[in-house]
Amino acid sequence: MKHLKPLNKKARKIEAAAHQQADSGSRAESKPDVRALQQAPQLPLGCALIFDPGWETDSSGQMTGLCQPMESDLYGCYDECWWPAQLPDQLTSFLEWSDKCASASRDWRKLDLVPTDNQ
Amino acid sequence: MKGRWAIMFWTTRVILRSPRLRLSPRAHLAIALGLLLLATSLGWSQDHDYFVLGIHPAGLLVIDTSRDEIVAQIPTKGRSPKEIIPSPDGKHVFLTTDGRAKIEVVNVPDRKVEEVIDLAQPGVKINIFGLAVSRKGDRLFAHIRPVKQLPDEYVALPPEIWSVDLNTHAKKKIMDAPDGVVSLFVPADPNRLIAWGRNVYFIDLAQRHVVETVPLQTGLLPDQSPMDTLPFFSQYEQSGIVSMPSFATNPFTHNLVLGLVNMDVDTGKLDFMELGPPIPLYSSVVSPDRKRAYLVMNQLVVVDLTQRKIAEVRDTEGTTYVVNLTRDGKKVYLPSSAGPFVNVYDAQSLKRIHSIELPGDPSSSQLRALPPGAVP
Repeated sequence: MKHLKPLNKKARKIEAAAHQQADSGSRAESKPDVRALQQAPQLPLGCALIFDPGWETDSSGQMTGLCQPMESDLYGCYDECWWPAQLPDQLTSFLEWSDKCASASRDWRKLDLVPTDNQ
Repeated sequence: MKGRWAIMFWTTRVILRSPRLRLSPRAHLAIALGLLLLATSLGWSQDHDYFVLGIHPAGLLVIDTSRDEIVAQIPTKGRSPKEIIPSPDGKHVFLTTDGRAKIEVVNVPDRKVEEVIDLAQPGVKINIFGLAVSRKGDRLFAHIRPVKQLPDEYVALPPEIWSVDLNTHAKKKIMDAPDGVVSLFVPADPNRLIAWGRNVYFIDLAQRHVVETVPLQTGLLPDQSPMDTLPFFSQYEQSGIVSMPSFATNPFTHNLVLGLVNMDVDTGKLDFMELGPPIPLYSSVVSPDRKRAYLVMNQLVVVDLTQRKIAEVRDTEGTTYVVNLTRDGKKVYLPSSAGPFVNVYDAQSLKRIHSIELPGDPSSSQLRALPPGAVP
């Protein structure tokens, strides 16, 4: 039963937002969705502020707005896979990659090799 | 400090010159040395400020801020400590290691890992984002993100909040957690837990569900803009205020606005302030007198909290994830995000006064102060 009618622009927006939330809520309940966490609003920071390892995109759904390998530090990427850097990740796949390397800038030669499927 | 030494000196003098005491010179010496040791330990425990910091590949450092020196390096069982939570008495430190998969209990005075807590069920891998210890020091809370590892598929399971009884070692799931939680905080009310992620959630531990939500990202009205915060590097023990830079787009001008969100950990009361055009920033810490906040990334930004505006911006020597202050608010510590050192700045002049060389990279490890009186 509906008792209230939106009369102005803001009220109509509120009603639309309420519908949108109800729709997305029911969708989420019916089927879990895996998707990249889109960064909105656009941030100048580089990394996505909603953290979900390996699934971040910028506000346009791309990765160009995120930190790039050349501007990130090695372990910042490796530790928690924050950025789409070409590095192994410590969270899931390559836990031992840096075991012999206490400092990336000092001992980088001690970083381990990462085998790929065809090696 | 001087007063305490003077009292100790005169007490010693009075004791040793007491006509009732007929002591040998050796006994005199023993009493004097004993009192001197007592004074020294009191001095250390009262005035020394110790930080704990994780380093690559597997270690925890204890740093004495009075000398800006490393006083202990404790090997950890797992790799790269991230979240670091000291117990209320400062004797133990709880760490997440091995890619946030495990919790290690470090006995600081004994310089060893006492216990490794694994909350993962068989066939399930977890990552811990959010660790907190109760104010009594008897319960540990952890927010976990479980992933079921099937032979050909990873299935993300709902995130959960668990508690570990530190006396009985019993582990108990409290509830399914809202999505996107990154940090946990323990307020003064022992029946509450605060979870910070897309929104700030206040959890009733007896009812085991969220009883209040302060919206940051979801559930906003159309004229409100989603607010981004990065609740990974929350160092709040010196002020009791959790502080985070925030970013939001003004819905009318569409300009990005930098702000600061401060939360009183005791009460959970939030304070939002706008600071102006955005400056890239990772984290923030509030001074013990609650008058200034220090924000870091590639710059050190000082916010005057009484006037609610940026007071000063200084370039730093590199990128920093975390920042913390000494208990007297005089020195600011910035561990390097990419090199094996911690830079120390004067909190007033913002000049670099020291650089402490480390045996490994701290990267994105938290830097936490041990509670007053802790003697590592």
